[in-house]
Amino acid sequence: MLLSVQLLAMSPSSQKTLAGFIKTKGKNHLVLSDDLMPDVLIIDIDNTQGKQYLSHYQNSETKLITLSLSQQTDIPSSVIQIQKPFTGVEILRSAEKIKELKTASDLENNKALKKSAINEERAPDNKQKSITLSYDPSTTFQGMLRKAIQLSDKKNTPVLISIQQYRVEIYADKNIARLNFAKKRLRTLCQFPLTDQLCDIKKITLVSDNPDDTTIALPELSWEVAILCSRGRLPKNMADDAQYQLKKWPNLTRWSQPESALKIAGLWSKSPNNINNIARQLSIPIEHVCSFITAAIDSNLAQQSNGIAEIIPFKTENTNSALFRKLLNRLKRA
Amino acid sequence: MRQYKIIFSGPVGAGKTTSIQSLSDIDVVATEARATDKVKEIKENTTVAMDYGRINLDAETTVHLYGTPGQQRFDFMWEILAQGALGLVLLIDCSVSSVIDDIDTYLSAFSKFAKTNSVVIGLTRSDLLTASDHLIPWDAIYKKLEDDDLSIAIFEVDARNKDDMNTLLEALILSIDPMV
Repeated sequence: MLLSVQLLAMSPSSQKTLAGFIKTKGKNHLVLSDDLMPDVLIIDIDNTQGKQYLSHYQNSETKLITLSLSQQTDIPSSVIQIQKPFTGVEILRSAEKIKELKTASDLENNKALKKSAINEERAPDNKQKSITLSYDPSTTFQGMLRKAIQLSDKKNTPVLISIQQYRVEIYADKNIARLNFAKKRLRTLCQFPLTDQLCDIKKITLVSDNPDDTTIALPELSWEVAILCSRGRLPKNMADDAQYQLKKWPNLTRWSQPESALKIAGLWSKSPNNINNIARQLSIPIEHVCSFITAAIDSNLAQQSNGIAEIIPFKTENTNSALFRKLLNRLKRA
Repeated sequence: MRQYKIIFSGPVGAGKTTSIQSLSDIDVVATEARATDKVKEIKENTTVAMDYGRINLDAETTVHLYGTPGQQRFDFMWEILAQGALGLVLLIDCSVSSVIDDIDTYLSAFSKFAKTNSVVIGLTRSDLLTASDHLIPWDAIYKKLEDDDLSIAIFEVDARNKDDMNTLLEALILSIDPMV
């Protein structure tokens, strides 16, 4: 088993030496990765940035190895400490230790998953009693993106979001963003909590002109990021009994299509509605509605309704339901 | 035998014949003739009466797919063809500068139908925009629909792509009845 590893807060020369070691003598144990959530992070904590990384990641699932001149007493025991000057053998020994821990933890997780699947089978009603889970978008890439779009819009200038090697340039006036990475890597940025220390947002005047950058419309970027960050939860400032109205349909042939998206849009485009009611009427899990509505609000396709109008339950007036079911089955199967 | 129909409309060259072919269980029956007017700058042949395709759901149920001719001089046919249809699929070429005018033309032509029936829009030929480093003018398109007080499904589609056309048709059905 190869462990993916990233080196943080190191001087260029240390970074080069350690990367060289990993690529040669360490290649059977470690592989360098640009994932934001690799298996292992090796952090030099003899500088402020390194200390910030340590404090940010010490509660994450990623295993940490710290490099420092002296042994630190205030670091959790789960973090492996290596004192400088260190040797390659010490790095490899630490990797071996992490592998053992990871194997044991994977086994435990598999057992737990099997157990939970059995419990769900025994109690299928549990799925019906779903409640809305909330989260704080301001500690995610979703919140950082919102902040950057607002800044770009307000100051009428391009804004740059930097997170490690990832750069997102926001042009609110043109309603586009440019990414220095492929769109599929957004998943990585949305996987873990972010703080202002890890995510730099600033106005820029010189814009990059790299032909390899990905250009993406802001509504699409906001939609994708909100879907990835929401994961079936609702932002903490949104209430599940408030009414929202879908003003515009998302481009569901090209943007990510969360579960039940077409059904939700079909019902919700007819009149303002609330999350609970949509889930109940369509007999779908509330998580599907939460993801959809979070993304629709962020991409400016939906808005909260002013005042509370009476929700008129949708009643089908046509007699073609059987035909529609057949046609839908056919289209999904094709 | 239960018979239903869905109408496909839109300007010349927007991909009506191709999209019906992507969905149909039979080869499209096309009434094509050599283009003689401005259309010949766009393509050699064009639909002069209608295109026809079919989805056979079972031995008893068939959904007929009709494509209207794109040229505006045939617009007297459009609403006649749409009478009794389950819904309307508008295909609009989004790579041309007249995209908003085209949406306006076809929504106006089918305004009577659209009042009581479902309409969806497929934006075609976006690959031509991407090739020239342009994006679909979503803001202007959404504004047009908002001005018309319409909240209808509008997706980017490749008329040759069965998945795209299936999704567009699913949206049409679920716009009519999201509870199915």
